[in-house]
Amino acid sequence: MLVTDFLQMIKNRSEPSWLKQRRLDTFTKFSQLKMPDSKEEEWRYIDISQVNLDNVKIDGYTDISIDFGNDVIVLLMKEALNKFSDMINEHAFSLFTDADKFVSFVSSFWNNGVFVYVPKNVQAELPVTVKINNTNNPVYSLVVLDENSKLNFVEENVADKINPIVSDKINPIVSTSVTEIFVKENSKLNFFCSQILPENLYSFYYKRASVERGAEINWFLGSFGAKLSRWKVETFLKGENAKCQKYGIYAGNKNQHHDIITKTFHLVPHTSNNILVKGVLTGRASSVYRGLIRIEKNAQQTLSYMGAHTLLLSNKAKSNNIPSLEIEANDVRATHGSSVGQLEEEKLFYLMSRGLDRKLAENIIVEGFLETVLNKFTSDEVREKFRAITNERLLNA
Amino acid sequence: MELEIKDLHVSIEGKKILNGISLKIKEGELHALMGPNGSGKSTLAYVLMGHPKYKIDSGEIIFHGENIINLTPDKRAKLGLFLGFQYPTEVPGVTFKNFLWTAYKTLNNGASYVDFNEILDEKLELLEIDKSFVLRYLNEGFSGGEKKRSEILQLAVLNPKIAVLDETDSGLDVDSLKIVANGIKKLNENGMGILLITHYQRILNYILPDFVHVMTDGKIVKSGGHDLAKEIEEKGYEGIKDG
Repeated sequence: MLVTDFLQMIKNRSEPSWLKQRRLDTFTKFSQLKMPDSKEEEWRYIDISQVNLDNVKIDGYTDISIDFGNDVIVLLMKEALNKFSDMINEHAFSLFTDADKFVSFVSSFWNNGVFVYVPKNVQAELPVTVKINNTNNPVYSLVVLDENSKLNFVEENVADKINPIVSDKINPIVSTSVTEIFVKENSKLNFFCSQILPENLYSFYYKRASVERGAEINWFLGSFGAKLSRWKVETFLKGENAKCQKYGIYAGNKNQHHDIITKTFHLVPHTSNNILVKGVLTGRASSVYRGLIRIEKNAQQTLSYMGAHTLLLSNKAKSNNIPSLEIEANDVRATHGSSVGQLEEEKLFYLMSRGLDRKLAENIIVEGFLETVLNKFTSDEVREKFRAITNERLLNA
Repeated sequence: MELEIKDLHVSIEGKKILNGISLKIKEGELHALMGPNGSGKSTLAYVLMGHPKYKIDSGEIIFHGENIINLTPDKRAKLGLFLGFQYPTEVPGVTFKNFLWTAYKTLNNGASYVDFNEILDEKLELLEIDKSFVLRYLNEGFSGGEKKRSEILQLAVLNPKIAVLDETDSGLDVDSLKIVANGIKKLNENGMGILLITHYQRILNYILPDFVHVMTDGKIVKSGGHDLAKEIEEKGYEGIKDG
């Protein structure tokens, strides 16, 4: 986007002055930053040669539908800016002081998103359900759980307005979003998020959560669509007895690439983290999972686990799981496990000996493989949905 | 209904393992196949069920009047054949019950879930297995004894015409052995033909086989009645082979 277009965009919007100023600041940064290249570790196995954020065309507002109970505050971001300007100003991009090209793109150009505020002591009974209709327009969402509150948040990413057939190699649709989450003392957030985009889109989702004393965040992630899908999900355990669990599945077919990064930062003593990510790939699909657990020197008595496993259903599918631990403290327990494997003939033979034909036997093994992640899901509805999507993508492929 | 093995020669990666096995098992008959380790007993079990890694060099396996050597394992199961595994594999994420129901409805067209549950409950009782067992993931984290009970429970529910049980007695304590043996006996009395493969004579204290066969080096070297099992216990396999 040209500077003149950008200035015109800012001028046309009735936004608080702090936001206009901030957009100008980040736009300067964004313009100076180069697109990441494959020399950078996090971008080594991901082909973004077709993506050029400097040329992405942006117009209008992202279409988002929301559904929620009346005990919480949920607004479209463009509306929340009027009513909750101060709170947004205080939190927005405060967890992303190290913004890269993609994050600064979102912070310069974001047009819509979801604003969620759960007041103190409110234990929301109904989930907040959000459906984001992805386009080129970057999306920024902010979720704040005040002390002693509770929320189930369900975010679904689709792109109903994009023609799934049309492929534009020169200017592909690039879907970007940043979500910032603040879970304050003794609060609990279950965050469900799925990406079901058509396969001619590129998607880059950045999510960061700050978790305070006695608070808990549980991530339940499903990565299914897009040509190339990058998730970067990071959790900062900032207060004692803060907890984090990340459960994720992905299912790739054709030429898809699923790229998932999770990072958990244990910043204080007595925090815990449990990660289990599993994926199934068929066709020529590929995946990379990078997981980091970092335990700071004073973060003693920490418990942290990370597991990443991939099942390959074809000889052309490829996967790389790269877990890493950075531990500065000495009284902690941090472990990881990872694997990439194919269907085992002995398992198939066993199931077939009971009358199941090969296809059914394969399906059962695949379902079982993912079930050990899905059975951690606290929502039956989301679990069923993820199961159905997986079946459709893999088993009928 | 009978299973007839005719002069079966089998090899794996060019190495001959079975050297002309012939055996006929009718419904309601109980055959014990005994022999030292490495004699080819488990290979025979796998080959009967259709494991893809073995090559049948010559011979036939006749079941339902047709040669089944080119049928996949699921087709053999549908004809009424069953293999009780010596080392059942673990299938994480799939509960025993869901799996068995899938198998049951595959083998029984138009099966009802209500009937299935009734049969399952009945067999759990017969084999003295706790109901919670069926909600666990298939064989995952099962002890040796639990795996064998899982196999016999599947056998009892799926109720095949002919069952090949590969060392179902190994790894069981005395109490479990009695229960499993009793279960096999009941199924046999109800008409199931059974080929009981065993290394030890121990289980035969609880079930009296109609026939005993001794296998060494991929061949059946001697067949007889249940007395033969006693003879093996006294003389050992070498004694049988020489005599």
